[in-house]
Amino acid sequence: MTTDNKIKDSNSKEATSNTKEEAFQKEQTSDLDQLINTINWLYNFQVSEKYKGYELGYFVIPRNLRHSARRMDRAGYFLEDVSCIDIKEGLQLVYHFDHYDAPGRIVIRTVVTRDDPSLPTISDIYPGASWHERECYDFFGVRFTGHPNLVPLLLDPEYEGPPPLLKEESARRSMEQIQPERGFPEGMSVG
Amino acid sequence: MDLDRRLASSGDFYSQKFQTTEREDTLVLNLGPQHPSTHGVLRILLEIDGEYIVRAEPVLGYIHRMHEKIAEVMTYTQFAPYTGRIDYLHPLAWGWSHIGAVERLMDVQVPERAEYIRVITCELNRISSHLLWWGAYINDLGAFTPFFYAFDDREIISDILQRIIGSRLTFSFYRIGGVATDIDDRFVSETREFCNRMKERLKMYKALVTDNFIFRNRLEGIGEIPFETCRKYGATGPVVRGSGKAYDVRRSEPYSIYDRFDFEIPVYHTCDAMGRYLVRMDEIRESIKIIEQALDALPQGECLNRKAPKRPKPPPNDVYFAVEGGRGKVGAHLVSDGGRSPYRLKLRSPSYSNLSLFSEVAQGTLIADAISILGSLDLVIPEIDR
Repeated sequence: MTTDNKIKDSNSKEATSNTKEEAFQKEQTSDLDQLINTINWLYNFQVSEKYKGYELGYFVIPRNLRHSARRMDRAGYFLEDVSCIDIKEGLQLVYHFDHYDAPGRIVIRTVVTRDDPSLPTISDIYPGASWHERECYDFFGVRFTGHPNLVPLLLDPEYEGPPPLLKEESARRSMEQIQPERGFPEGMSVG
Repeated sequence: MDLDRRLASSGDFYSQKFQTTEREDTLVLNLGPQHPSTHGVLRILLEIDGEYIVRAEPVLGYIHRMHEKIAEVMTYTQFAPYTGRIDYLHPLAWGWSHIGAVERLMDVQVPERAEYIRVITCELNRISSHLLWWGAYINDLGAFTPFFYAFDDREIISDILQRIIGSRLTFSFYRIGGVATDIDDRFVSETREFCNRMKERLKMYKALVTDNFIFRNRLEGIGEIPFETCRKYGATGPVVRGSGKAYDVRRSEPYSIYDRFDFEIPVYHTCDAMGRYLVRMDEIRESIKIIEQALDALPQGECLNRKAPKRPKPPPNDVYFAVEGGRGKVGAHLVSDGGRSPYRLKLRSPSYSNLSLFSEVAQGTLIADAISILGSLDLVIPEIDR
C-alpha cells in the first residue's frame, strides 16, 4: 500500500478505512483514494465532526514531507498556505492544500524539535511555498534547508530579537491540549 | 575597485543582496516603495536590460503590523476590528473570515436575517472594492478620468454602508452570532436604487474604458499567467478565474447562505491582464444579482443571536474558515486552547499568494507592462504585509 510501511502506526489501519469510506461518499474516490495510498503518513487524522474545515489530515515525519508534497503536486492540488504553531513538543508546521476542481482541504502536519528547527524546503515543488517558508523563518525561526533565498520577508532584516511568535514556556500547550480527540498515537516520536 | 566598494555599501540589505548579478550590462532599479502605481508601500527590485525586466523581486514588510501576534494578546471580540485594517478595500470579507472561524469553533447559530444582511453588505463591499481597483488601475495606465467615475459610484456605497455600520472604510460590522445593527427600509430602497444605477453605469464603463483601443492594447496579451503557474503559486480569486478556472470559495466551499443564490462565476481563458480585468467587471454584475436576490428574499426576525457568547471561550480545537474576498480566498486558521484569546491565528491573504507569482511573470516584459501586470493582480499592500 505505502512504499514505507515501517513508519506507519499500527493504530492507523482503522482510521484508514474510515477515511476511505468518507472518500467514497464524496464521489472522488479514485483521486482521493490514490492520494491516500501514496502519502507516507505517520498518522492520519480521523475525519469527524470535531475536525472542522478539513477533508483530510495527515501527520508525516519531516523526512517524508517532500515526498508528500510531491504527491499532492502530482494530484493537482495547490498550496493554500504554510503556517506554524508553537507547541510543547516543538514547532508544528501546517501545510494546507486545496484543489480547484475537487474542493476539500487537506492538511499535512509535521513537528520539528525546538533545538534544531530545520525542515526540507518544498519551494522547488511549489514555488509559492517560498514566501510562506520565509514567513515561518521570520516568525518562528524555522530553517528550511535547500531554500534558495531564506532571508527575512516581512520583518526588518536588522531585527535581532527572538522570533516574535514563539511563546513563553508557561504559555505553551501540548498537541493534545489544542488539537484534542484526534487520536494521536501514544508516545509519538518527534523529529 | 573603489567603485565596487561603493556599490557594495550602497543601498540596504535587499538591494545589496540583489545587486550580485551575472551580467554586466544591466541596471538595478528600485520600483517603490513610494511609487504611485504600487498603491501603498510595495517595493520591487528590478534588474533591467534597457526597458526589459531581467529579474524582479518584491520586497515586503513596510507596513507589517503583526496582526497574528495582536490576535494572540486580544480576546476574540477585541480582535474583530483589526480585521478591517488588514484589507481596507474589502474589510467585511476579512471580518467574516475571523467571525466565521469563531462561530465554526463554537457552533454558534446565526439567524436567517443576519445571514442575508451579511451577504448583502459583503457583496456591496465587493463592488466598492472592485470599483476602487478599476479606477486606480486605469489611473496607473495613464487615464485619470475613470477614477472619478468610479469614486462617484463608490461614494454611494460608502454612504449606504455608513448609515448602517458607522464607518466608511475599515468596517467592523459582523458579530459572533449575527451583525451589529439591523437594516431598515431606507437601506433596502437605497440599495435597490444603487443596483439599478450601477447596471446602467456598467454599460457606460464598457463604452468609456473597456472598448477603448489604447486601453485594450495595454492589457491584451500582457502578463499571461498560465493556469499551471497559478496552481504552483496558490493564486485564487480573479487571478485564477482569468486563467480559465472557475474557482470561487462561494461555490467550492459554500459558507453562509451562498448556495441559495443564482449567480455565475465569470471565467476567461485568455490568461492575460484583460482576462482578469473582465472577470472583475463581470463580478460587479454578479454581485448586483446576488444583492437583488437577497433583498427580495430578506426575512424578518432577529439580526443577532441573543444566546451567542459576548466573551467567547471556545473549546480547544483548530478550525479553518475561508471566504471569498475581493482578491481571492481569505482564510483564517484558528487554534484555540480553551482560553479567552486565540492560541494561534494564521491569516491567509490572497494578495500574498497572487503577488508571489509576479517575479516569474514579469521576466522579460517591459517596465510599462509590469505596471499593468501589478495593477491587474489587484494588490492591497496592508493585506500582504499584515
